[in-house]
Amino acid sequence: MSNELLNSFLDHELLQDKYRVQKKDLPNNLKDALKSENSVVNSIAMIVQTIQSDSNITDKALKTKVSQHLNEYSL
Amino acid sequence: MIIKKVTIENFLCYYGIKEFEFSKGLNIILGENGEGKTKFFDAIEWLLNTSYSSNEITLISQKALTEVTGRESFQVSVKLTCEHDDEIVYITRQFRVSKLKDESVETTKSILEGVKESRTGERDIVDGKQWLDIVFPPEIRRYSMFKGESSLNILKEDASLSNLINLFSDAKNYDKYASKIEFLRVEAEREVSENTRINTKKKAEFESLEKQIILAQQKKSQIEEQLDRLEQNTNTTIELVKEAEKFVVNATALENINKRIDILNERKQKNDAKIEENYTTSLLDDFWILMHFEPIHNEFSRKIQESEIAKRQLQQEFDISKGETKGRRILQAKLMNNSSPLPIGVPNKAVMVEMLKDEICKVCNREAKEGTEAYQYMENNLKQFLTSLEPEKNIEEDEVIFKNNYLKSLVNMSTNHDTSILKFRSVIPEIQDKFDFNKSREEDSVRFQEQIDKEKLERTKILGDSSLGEDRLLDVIKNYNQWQTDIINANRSKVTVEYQYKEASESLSSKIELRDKIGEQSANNYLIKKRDLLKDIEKIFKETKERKFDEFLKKLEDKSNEILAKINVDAFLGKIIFIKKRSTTNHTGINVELVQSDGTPFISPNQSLETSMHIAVLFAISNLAAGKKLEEYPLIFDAPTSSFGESKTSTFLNLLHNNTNQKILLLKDFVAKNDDNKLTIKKEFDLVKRNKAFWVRLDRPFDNGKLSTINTLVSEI
Repeated sequence: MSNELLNSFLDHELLQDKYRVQKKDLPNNLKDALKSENSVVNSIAMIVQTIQSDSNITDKALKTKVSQHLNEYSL
Repeated sequence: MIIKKVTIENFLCYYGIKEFEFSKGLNIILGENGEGKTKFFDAIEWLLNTSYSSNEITLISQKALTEVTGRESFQVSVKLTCEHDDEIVYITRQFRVSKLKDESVETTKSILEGVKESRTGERDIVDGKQWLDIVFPPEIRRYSMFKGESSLNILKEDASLSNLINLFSDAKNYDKYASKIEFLRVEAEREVSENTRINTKKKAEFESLEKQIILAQQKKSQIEEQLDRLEQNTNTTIELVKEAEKFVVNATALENINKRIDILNERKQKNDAKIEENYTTSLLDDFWILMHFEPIHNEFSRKIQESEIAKRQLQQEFDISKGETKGRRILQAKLMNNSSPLPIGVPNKAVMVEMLKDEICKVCNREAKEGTEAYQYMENNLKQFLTSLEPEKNIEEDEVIFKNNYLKSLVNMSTNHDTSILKFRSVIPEIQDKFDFNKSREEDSVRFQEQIDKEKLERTKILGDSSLGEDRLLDVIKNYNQWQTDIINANRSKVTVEYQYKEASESLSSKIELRDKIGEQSANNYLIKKRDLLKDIEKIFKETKERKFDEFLKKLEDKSNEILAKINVDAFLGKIIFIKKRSTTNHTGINVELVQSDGTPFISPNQSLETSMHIAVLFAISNLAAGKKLEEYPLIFDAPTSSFGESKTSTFLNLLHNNTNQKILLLKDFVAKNDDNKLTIKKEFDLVKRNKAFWVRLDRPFDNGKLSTINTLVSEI
């Protein structure tokens, strides 16, 4: 399910139009997406993984996790 | 979940214990109206609707109540035996009934009991309500049980689609992503704002922009709400128009008939007003009483004439005997054949002068030139008349034969009547004309009345064909026209409001852009990047959710059309389309419509076509659910195809048979009366593919005035 969700998000044309990610370079699973150097790709993957692993996660907890993640990837 | 068995005990018309053992696939329960089909459906509904308190007394089999004596008690129950996750679950709703000494009845409150039987045969008592919700979740039940054709339009309510999506579509998985990312983006924007406020030199400008943005957002929301309201009102009006369209033909016909009746009544009234039957008045005022006066007058004249002649003869004889002079004069006047001369003064003076002037005897219509004997005769007569006017000095006055001259008055009267007779002669044709006229008007009146009666009969037929009464049917036309105008006006307003919305959106965007620009120059670079990234992810999440929703709709639409084509073999097909509509709620509403091959809407589809469309959508949903490998649930329909003919019902049932999901259908088709007036199942039913079939019918004989004699029998066929 997580991969299905991730792939449907990564299929969005914004990734190619704005972030210049070629379709062939897109990861097709969560594990690879988390390792991606592209901040949008790995951020989406991180959000999907977080929500899928804890569907009851609060908005604030998610915010903390996303902030940490973006800090680590030094946007 | 599969329903394996339904056991009904002493529930309404089901006296004693009655069992229906169902299989997977298509199960059909046949029965005439009033023989127990709907009571079966009611029994299941009673079992499932545990949130509603029921009036137990009204659910008891009256036959069971009559059969118990003394202080005995018995049970009323409905039991569902179902298979769920390879286990058997028994759910029973039951209560007890006791008959008291004074014949009054007492019941316990109904309770729900549950028993779970494992694969190894071990049985455990479980919470009935909890397990009912597990084996047959309430949100599924909404789309599982359908009573009558009207209940099949499940997408009518705005929330239905959202519910369906939550149950069956991938789109539900995207909902939480859309809401969570929105929170993250709003927070990121807030962080940027706060940071900018601290660092920027353009603090005042930034804060002013923030305020303007709040106002612009409020304005945009207000316009959006206005647009939603407009949309909602238009949709409601469109629904009303659609509903009215079912009646508009009859309503128009009724209005036209009423107009015609009014015109005919008016014509009849005008016609009736022309009929004057005041004959009594005419008897005197118009001399109708004298219609037979002429023969009487003729007789009168004749008698007067005779009397006059007789009088003159007597006078003549008297005069002869009395004097020579007078006698001579009389002798001179004696006419041929001894006939009596006309009385003096006939013709009168004026006529005689006229005849002398014209030299014509107008009595005998002969020429009487001056100097001729005839002329002389006329001249003498005039002289005689003039002489007669002078007093007779030489005649002895002491001896007269007629002292009074009454006859002269009678002669005058007769002469007067001669002139009136012409007038009286016209009375008969006048009466005849009057009677003919009145008769003709009365015939017209009858004709008008016949036309009125015919129109009224037509009106009765129209009202009979319509489920609405006359007043409401006439309101339909009034409202229908008004609603059409409302829709046009609403669409015009929508264009204006949409323009305002666009302007408000652009204004808001430009303000945000301006604010962000200041922010970008002043705020922490990390915060800006974070906000922009989250903005993009929000766009991706929300648009992906929308796409998934559209994909679900497309699948549903395609599947519905595929099924509709199978149901409506050899009939008008059309195409089902799903149209998304705006809604003020969080639900995205849709309109399900039927269009023709050229895309134009199919106005007022008949009930059969509408039912086909709704069933097609239902099965499409069920099919998509199966495709998601979700737990299977049964579909229970009570009389879903009332508007189908038997042939179409057969096709429909065979189509259902191809689908392996469990379905229980209650139908009144295929039941007929044989030559002995006994109910029987038609041979045509042999051709219907099914997995199980039952026949419910009342145990005969029974007294149709006594519920205590009613008992529905169940037999497998």
